Amino acid sequence: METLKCMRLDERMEANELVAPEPLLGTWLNTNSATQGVTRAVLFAKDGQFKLQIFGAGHPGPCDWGETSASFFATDASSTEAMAFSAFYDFGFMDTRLQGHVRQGVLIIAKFDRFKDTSGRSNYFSKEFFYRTDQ
Amino acid sequence: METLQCVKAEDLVERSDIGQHGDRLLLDSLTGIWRNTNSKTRGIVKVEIAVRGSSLIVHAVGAGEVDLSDWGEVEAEHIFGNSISSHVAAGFTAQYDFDFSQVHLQANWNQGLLVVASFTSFKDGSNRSNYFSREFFHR
Repeated sequence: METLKCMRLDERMEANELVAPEPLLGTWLNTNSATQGVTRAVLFAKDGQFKLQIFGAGHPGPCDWGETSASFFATDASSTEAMAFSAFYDFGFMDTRLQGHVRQGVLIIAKFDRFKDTSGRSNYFSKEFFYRTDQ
Repeated sequence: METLQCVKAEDLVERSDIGQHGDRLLLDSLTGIWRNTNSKTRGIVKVEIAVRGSSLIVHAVGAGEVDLSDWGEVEAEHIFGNSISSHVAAGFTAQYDFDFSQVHLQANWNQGLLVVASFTSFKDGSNRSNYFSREFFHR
C-alpha cells in the first residue's frame, strides 16, 4: 500500500468523493446589524466555479465588492463536506484576504486587510460573525 | 480634507487617527515559542516565531508518528495589527509549499492565545480533501 506523504498526523486518511460546498452556499448576514465592516457575504456556484460576493458597510448604501473566486476546505483530509473557504480581493489601494469557517451554524469570517496606498493606515486583522438567511 | 479610499465604513478614518508608522508594526508581540493548547494534537504541535531584520520568521512543527515533523522556516508574507490605527503586530499570514501539499497559515493573537488557521491543499493526486483546521497556542 502506498504511504501518503504528510506533514502532520491528521493527513493520513483519504476521502472517497470531492468536497461538496453546499453547506456554505447561500447568503450570510452579519449578526451585528450596525457593523462598519462586512454586512453580507454571498457564496454561490457560477459556471462551474464557486464565487464569493461581499457587501461592505457604506454610506448611503452598502458597498458591493463584486465577485471573486472562493476555495473550499473540508474539516479534515477524509471529509467531503466543506466547512471553510478562503478568498482574496484586490482593490488596488488595498487588498484583503478572507477566511471563513462555520462553527455551530455561525459563519466566522476573518479579514486580513492590507493597505497599499500611502494613507498610513495599518494593515489589520478583524473578525465578524454571520448567520444564514434565505434572502 | 483628503478622502481616503475604502470599501467598508470602518476603513474611513481621519488622518489624525492614523499613526505615523505606516505599515511598520512592532513585531515583538508575536515572537517566542507557541505551543498547542492541546498536547495530543495531530496537527501543529508548536510554532516558533522570531524577528530577523524587518522580517517575521515562522517555524512550524507538526505531529508525527515517531518524531515531530519539522516544517522548516518561512518568512511571514504579511503582518497585521488588530486595528487600522494599531502599531502592534497581532497577526500574520505565511505559506508553506511542500512537494505534495501547500499550507496557508493565517494567525492572529487574541487574549494571550495565538489562533492559527491552516488551509491545506493537496497537489499529489491523492484522494485527500483540501482541509481547514484551527488550533490554539500559548506562549
